[in-house]
Amino acid sequence: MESWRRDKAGFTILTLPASVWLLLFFTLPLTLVWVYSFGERGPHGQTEFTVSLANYIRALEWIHLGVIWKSLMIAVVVMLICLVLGFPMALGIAFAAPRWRTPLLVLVMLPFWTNLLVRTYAWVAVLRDRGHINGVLEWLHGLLGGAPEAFEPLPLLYNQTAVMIGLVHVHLPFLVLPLYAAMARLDWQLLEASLDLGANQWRTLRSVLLPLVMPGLVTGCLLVFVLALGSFLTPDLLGGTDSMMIGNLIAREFGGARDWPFGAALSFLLVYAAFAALWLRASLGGGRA
Amino acid sequence: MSAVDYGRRGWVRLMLVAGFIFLYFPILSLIVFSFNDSKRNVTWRGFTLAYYEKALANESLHQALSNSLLIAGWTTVVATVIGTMLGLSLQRYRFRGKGVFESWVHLPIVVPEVCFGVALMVFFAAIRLPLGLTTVILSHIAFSIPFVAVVIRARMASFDPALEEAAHDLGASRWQSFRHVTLPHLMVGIVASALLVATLSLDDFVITFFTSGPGATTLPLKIYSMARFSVTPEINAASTVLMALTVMLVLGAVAIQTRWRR
Amino acid sequence: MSSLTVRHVSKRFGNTRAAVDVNLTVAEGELFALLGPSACGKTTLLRLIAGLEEPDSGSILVGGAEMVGVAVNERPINMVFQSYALFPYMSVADNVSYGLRVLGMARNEVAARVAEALSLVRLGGLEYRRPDTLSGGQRQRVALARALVKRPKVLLLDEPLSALDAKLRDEMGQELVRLQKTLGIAFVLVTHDQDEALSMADRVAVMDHGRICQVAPPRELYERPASRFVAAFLGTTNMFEGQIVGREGDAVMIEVAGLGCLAVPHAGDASGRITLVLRPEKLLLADAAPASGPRLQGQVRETNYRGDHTRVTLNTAAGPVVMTAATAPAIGETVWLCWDAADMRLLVEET
Repeated sequence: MESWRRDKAGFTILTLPASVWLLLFFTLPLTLVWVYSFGERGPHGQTEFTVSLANYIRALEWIHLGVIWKSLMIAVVVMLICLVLGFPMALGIAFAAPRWRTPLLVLVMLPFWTNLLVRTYAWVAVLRDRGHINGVLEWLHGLLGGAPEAFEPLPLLYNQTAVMIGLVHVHLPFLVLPLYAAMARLDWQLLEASLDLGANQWRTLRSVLLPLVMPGLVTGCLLVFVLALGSFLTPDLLGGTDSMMIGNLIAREFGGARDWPFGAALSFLLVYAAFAALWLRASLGGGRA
Repeated sequence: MSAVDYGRRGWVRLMLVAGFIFLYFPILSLIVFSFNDSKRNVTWRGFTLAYYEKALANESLHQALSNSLLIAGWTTVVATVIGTMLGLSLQRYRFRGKGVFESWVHLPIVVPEVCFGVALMVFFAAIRLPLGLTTVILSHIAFSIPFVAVVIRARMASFDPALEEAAHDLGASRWQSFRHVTLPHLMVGIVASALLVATLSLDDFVITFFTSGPGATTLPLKIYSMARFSVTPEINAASTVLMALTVMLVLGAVAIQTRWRR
Repeated sequence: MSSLTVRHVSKRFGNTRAAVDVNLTVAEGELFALLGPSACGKTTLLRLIAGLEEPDSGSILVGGAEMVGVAVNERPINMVFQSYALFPYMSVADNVSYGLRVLGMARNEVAARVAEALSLVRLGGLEYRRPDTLSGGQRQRVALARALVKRPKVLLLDEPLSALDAKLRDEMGQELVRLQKTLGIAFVLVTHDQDEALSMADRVAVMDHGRICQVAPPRELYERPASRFVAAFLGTTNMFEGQIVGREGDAVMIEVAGLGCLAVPHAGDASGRITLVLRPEKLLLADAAPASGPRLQGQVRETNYRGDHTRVTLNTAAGPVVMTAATAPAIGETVWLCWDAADMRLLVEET
């Protein structure tokens, strides 16, 4: 690595285009929104620039707090479900016979690369009143001698449950992959040493494996949490009136409701949450080094 | 048979299978039902390709697909080029404030998509640039650059700088040594990041949602608007086509990654 | 009763036969070494004894009890891993006490045993340090203490000295021997370094390609190797091909190209082709042809100064010959080599 001074021309040519682009189409827009968040909505829907925290205060008002609170709760539940489901999956892949590992990994990654929209939309067909799950239930109902008209389908769609199922589905790979990476880097001899010293498989998992993969686990959990918190499409397609999340609220304020300053404040609350999670990850990760 | 045998435990295998069923069941059912001969698509009535034909004949879907491809094309070219340059710069040069600069460059990956999308929309309104294909392309390039930089840096980490020095020692100019020695090694990373960008751009919904305008509908956006109305096999067909495109790109990238391990 | 008995153990990984019908016995209180080149199966054998792998066939008995089928964590055997495998986020004390905590032992008893183990390996005072703050030698002692605190019937050591630098290796080697003699526990150590094996062990098993070639105390192994492989693996040696041509009392007559006819003391039946083994340090330089006894003339080709001796390579009628001398002759000089007939060993051709 050399100092940039030795090759100022090269440095400038290589660094300038990307920097300008990011400045123009990332930093500037976000800064603009940040400024807006201190502004006010004018009588005709335009934005007047003031310096007030009114929007932030309003965002934390109890009505909207409900949405924020619900989003946080949904994100936490989704994270926990992903953890419960994803931990054994990562374990199964990391400790599978070598020739199975790559195929299994690719299998986990494929949905991750599939379009978010398609994955979410796929659940509509599964969860709706005349969808797959209810279809099976109806068939079972008939099998057990119930009258067809008496069957009441489970309301699985357009509510919080559907949103959570959809979010778990979308974000599961985000937990499995970092966790798998941490497990794959494990020194198996540490596990063998634990067994050799008399611990059984469960104790070894708890006392040796878990602490060692903790950084990867924390990364996965925080990733799922932040992404789920800021999700927009999934609650939009799968949710109902009672399952609006922050992302939808923001979209509404910038769309139909035309209250940009308020939307900006909400938007930045989300950004701060993401930064908080990053900071949390860094400080937890640092302690483990 | 090693004593460390989590991979053979019953509960682990069960959860693994359950997890995969959970991940793939909706997607596979979507694909299967795209061939269903039934407009309401509730029960299986028979195999047909009619809805694929319908989707392929659908003008607006066509338009959306070509928009998506156009956007992905431009994004891939521009983002790969300037992202690679950025990655090279980060790997090669030392400068004051590099730590902060690096964090800044990686921010777009961290910021939630809704916030990013909304910010771009606001920005374009402020500079009075009407939303359309151009704004989408500009936005896609913006969020793609950090990904390219990451991939390129990872690739360059395995490059021995002594090789370039040896080329210099043997008389090559800076540009020549870059072209003959560094670029071949870098090529794998460039192709991998190009595929990555293409996938991200083709699949993107949220940012595109906020930065596109009339005439600039992409395939995901079009499917979204169709899905809000009803669930028909035609949507399934369009979705399957989109997935197939992405899967091909991903498998291509995986194939390159496996050759990368040399 | 022996501490450890391995009977007809075989193990295969895919197409590789890592252990082929291995039989050996380790007596109580014995320091036993498994010696061989890399990939000869010695580490596999160690892992089979520890229970980290299961043999395809055969039995492993510890103190008379069958171990095959018994899980790793239930065997009265503990292992010191080559990389030490210390738990990185636990302190030294927590590492050492791990095996006892797993058993649910009372806290004060654990503390007492840990203190005892740490003082045994001379690491008292380092209880609260983390492994990454310790030197290589210190880490090894922690690994030792961790295994010994459980008072196993047999202690296994996988290349214990390979990660240490030369000087430390010597010291640690001596210390391991002292420790073993103090404790009276059987140690089985694996190494590819013949100096280590010869200087530390009570008995050594030489392995090659999954098979045991010879088991003997160090002196016997070096001076009476049972095969070409063992002879060549332990130190440098001169080997000459020859033929048995007759017998004379308690000696056998052999014919070796370039050496002529020699009488070699050798008990037992022998006929056919043989390999004559002669250690370099048994050869002596002479100015003139000696009157009697085996002799060979040679021209000095190379000399290799080694501090306390010089290794000399000579061209002779019987091929290249290596010998050690206190002072080296000049290159190109022609000298006479002589040796005691009793120092020659015969290896009868193996099938």
